[in-house]
Amino acid sequence: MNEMTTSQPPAEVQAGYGFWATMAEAFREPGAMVGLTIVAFITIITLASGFLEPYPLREASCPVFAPPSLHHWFGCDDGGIDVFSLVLHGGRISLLVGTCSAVIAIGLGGAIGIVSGYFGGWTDVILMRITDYFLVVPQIPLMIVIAAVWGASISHVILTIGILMWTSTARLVRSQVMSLKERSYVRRVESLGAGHTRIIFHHILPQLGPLLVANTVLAITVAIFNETALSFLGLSDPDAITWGSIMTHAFNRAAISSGAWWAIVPAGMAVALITTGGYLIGRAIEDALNPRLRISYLSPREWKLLPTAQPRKGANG
Amino acid sequence: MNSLQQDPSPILEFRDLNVWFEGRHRFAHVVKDVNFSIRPGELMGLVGESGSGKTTTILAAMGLLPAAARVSGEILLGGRNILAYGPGSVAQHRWKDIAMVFQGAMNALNPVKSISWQIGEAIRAHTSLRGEDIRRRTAELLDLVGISPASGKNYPHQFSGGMRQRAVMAMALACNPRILLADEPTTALDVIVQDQILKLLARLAGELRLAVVMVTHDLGVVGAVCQRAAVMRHGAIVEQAAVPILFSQPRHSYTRELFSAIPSLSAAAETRPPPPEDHAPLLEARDVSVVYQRTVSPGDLFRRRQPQPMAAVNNVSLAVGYGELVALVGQSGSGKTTTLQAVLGMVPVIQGSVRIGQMETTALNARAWRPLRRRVQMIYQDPYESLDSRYRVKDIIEEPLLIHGIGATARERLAMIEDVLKRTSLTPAEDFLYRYPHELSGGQRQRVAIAASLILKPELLLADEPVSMLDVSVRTGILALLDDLRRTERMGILMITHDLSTAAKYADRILVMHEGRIVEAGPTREVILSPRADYTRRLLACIPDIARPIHAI
Repeated sequence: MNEMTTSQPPAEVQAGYGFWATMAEAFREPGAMVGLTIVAFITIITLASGFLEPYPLREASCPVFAPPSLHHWFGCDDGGIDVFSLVLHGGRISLLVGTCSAVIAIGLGGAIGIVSGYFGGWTDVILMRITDYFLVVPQIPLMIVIAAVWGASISHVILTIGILMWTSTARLVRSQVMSLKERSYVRRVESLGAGHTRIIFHHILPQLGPLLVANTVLAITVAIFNETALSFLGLSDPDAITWGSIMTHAFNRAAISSGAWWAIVPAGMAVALITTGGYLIGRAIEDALNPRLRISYLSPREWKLLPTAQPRKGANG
Repeated sequence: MNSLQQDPSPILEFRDLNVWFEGRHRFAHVVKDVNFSIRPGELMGLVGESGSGKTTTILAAMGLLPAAARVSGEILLGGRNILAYGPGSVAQHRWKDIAMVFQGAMNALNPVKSISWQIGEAIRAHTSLRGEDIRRRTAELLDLVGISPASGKNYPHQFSGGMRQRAVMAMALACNPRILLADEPTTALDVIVQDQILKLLARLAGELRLAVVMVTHDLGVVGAVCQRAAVMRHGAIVEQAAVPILFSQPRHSYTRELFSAIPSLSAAAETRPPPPEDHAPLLEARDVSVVYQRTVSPGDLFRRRQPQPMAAVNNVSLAVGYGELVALVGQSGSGKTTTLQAVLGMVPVIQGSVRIGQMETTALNARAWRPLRRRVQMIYQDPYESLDSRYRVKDIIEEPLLIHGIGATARERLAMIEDVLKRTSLTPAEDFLYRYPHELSGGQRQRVAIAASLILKPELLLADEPVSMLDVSVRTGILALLDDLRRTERMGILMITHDLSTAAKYADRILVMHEGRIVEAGPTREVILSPRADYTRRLLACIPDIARPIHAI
């Protein structure tokens, strides 16, 4: 019975298991809170843009390229349309495209990674060669081809970004699964007689949870960024208002040469902000998953000598 | 022989050493008022379980504590307090006066540099020797630790574990230190190699008048090689004395507990009743061979050749009867675990037959195996690894029931779970049902793993070193549980162990495995007391024993 009293694990070890513990650990980081605030703020105001937009989007409410003023915070564009309303509205499509293509990418990448890593052998060889193939397809030429063949539309942009972005997730998940399936708790469940489905869905997938969340957040930001780039090049739906199309319109109508920076900068800032926010969150979750990344063994700090016998916080722990 | 009388003044002395680690919310007091001293030429053992603060104590003398550490007290080196001015004043003495062999350092050698180069690097970093002098000093050091200087040009992977450990010790001795701190120097090594390293430490202490502090969890090692020992628990020294006194009259109850956990080999074998003959065969393996097939590399394809398979298990035959406990003993890499995996059907058997309760299993595929899995269960070595950290105890034990579709309702299953928790002494059951593995101690985790196997009412239990990852004081409980199971439930148990004394105490029969073959098999008494195979004799001779102290040789 003596093991009831001895060798209790130290307090440090007890924290940090499971999905929610990892998330809690991640959001202890100040950077992650900043990122979450940014992303939440942008998401809320774009989703509520229908109520928040001060001016209509299809008819002029002010002079052409009017500078920012109290009534028009971000000024006006070439058609006399309020830029603030445009940026609010444009966030909808950008976020939609970002989220949809990230979900496609993570779903596809996760599934291929798990199957490839878990079953190994020829399955792995074939799936990984397919992955390699997609890894080298350049995005913009492919988008140009798709836009030329099927026409430029939002759903094509979503598909293109999703189908080109899953490769890195697949590789990451595959390597994780390969090490997870050799862990002795998986071997033990296998020797209990569990089938592949049970092992994958009950024991491997949940362990990948935080990793997939981190990847999804990072993928959303990359997808928003890519969507902006594609629509700036005019490869997206020309009628949709997105951050990319706001910028490309302003650019085409010589906003820069007429000194109307306010027609371009707010949309660009929005993209930069949400990308930074997503990156901060994603990185914090990754760090929480692998705490070793944060410890510096070459720290210039040293241990300290105490003049008295007891440290201040009350030492009898 | 006894250095204690010749040189009474201690070279290193710990006085009221305290170490705290600053946590997020509080200080953890990990070393509490530690006092001990060591004289030149003396070997001192610091014994304790994991987390008892023994490594932290010696790291304090090296000045290598992490930044979160807060230290108070004195460490006297030849009468001078080296802690007096904090980290800077300890650093001056590091390597020059006090050197350390870190735990597992032998696995941290640089794989792309030769051993001589790496020792030379240590010399270059800490002394003013250059060029030819370094080479001469390296040769000298290699010779000192019993490696021929010529083989220093080899790379770490060409050295065995024991040789690498010697090389690491040579590095620590580069600056002629007066004190050597060795952290678990023999833990990952096999008995035969362990014996050589212990002899080397004893020789170095004698030849160089080196004071050696050896941190270990193994009382047998301390008994064989040390003159004095201190027993640590929860950061404090509970008892320290000369080894013969400590071993013959342990005063503290904790020390006595530790001793009761290490059965004496010959005493255990002598009291072992001969195994009953009427065991009905439960598991019968005949001429089993397992090979690890290497994958075909592009080079092989190019040369049109098949890669040579590696034989892991070679013509192994064994049998386990109902209610019998059979121990499979051998060094790491001898094929013990592969044998178990083959019995369990987790690795393909290329030749031979495995019968479990008259059923031939070698030809079964994964699907056909599944119903049979109920009858054969395996206990894994590391209970910290073998339980899914996201599952509560109840879910862990319920899982096998769900897999095999046993118990129609949740209530029925819960009753079975509570029953099996009781049988594994995890009582009261309600206290454990909803806890996560990380809230349990190592011994409790292993009990949960055993409970999850027992709930299927298996006939055959395979145990892969079930106690080797656990602290000494909880081992007895787990082994007694296994012993009890085979008596009351008539379960057949095949247990892997590297520890002959455990095998001697609990097994009916012992199989000794070496390089993929079984070199000796027989009733425990015969194998331990009158071994026939040379290998068994060597193995037995190398087990550290207080009755045969190394320093007296």
